[in-house]
Amino acid sequence: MGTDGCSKMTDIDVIRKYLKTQEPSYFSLLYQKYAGKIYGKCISLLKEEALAKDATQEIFIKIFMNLCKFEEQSKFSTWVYSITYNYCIDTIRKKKKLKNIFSNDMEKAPDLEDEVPDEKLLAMEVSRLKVVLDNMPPGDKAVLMMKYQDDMLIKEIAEALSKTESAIKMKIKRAKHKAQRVYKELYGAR
Amino acid sequence: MNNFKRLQEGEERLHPPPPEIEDNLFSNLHILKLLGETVELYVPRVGELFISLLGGSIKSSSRQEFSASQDSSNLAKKDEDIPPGKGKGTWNNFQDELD
Repeated sequence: MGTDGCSKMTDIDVIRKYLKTQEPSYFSLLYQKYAGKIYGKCISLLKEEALAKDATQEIFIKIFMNLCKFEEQSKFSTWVYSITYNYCIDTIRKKKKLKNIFSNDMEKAPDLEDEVPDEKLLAMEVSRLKVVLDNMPPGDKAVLMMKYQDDMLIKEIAEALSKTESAIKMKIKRAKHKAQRVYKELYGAR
Repeated sequence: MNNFKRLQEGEERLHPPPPEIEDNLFSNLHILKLLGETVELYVPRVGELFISLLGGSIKSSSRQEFSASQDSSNLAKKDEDIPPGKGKGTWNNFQDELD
């Protein structure tokens, strides 16, 4: 069965078609659309090609196994990226033998610092932003990517990471401070 | 487009997913699907096999009842009640259980 003319189908249409027909070519459409993004995120977070390759494959198997559970309450891309970030964070946690990449005391931490304006973060040069993110803890990097790269809402990030919305707000605030601090350490106040 | 998105685009251009990911993935999915179909086909028979192994026998009438309950009209009615991919004993249900 061909999927000619399917390029204009929405993700939801493709999923419905796939669930109805179980035709692999529909799943292939989803793969073509998201493989680059997922692999890119895996490389960025895991920093090893071999790990990123395995992770991408495992993430697609998770997507395949859970596709019928996708409830269409959020965008498909948000759901896919939630699986991706969770998988990568879990892999880093196992690799570093950490109990939790997001410390639980972040909810209790006192709110002493002023918010770093988004403009400051978004004004960084792309090459410098990459270096800054690579020098940040993976949990902080992940929340910033979720917010600014994938346009995920606080509520969606909280759901994806099984945290409260206030904990995520605090995490983002602290991650922005950390990013600014790393930037100043590496490049001065320029 | 902000700098985070430009960074993502750059990463995607710099690190395209290797083709072996797709090859491995689809061969794995094929195996999973085959496994699911095999389970779907043979699991209903496992009960009968157990009874036979324990020395029991299955009454032909109960078999007839079972086959009668599976007639196409009955199944069609059941399918209307179940959202796609949510039927008991379907491949997707098996996926849920695996997960």
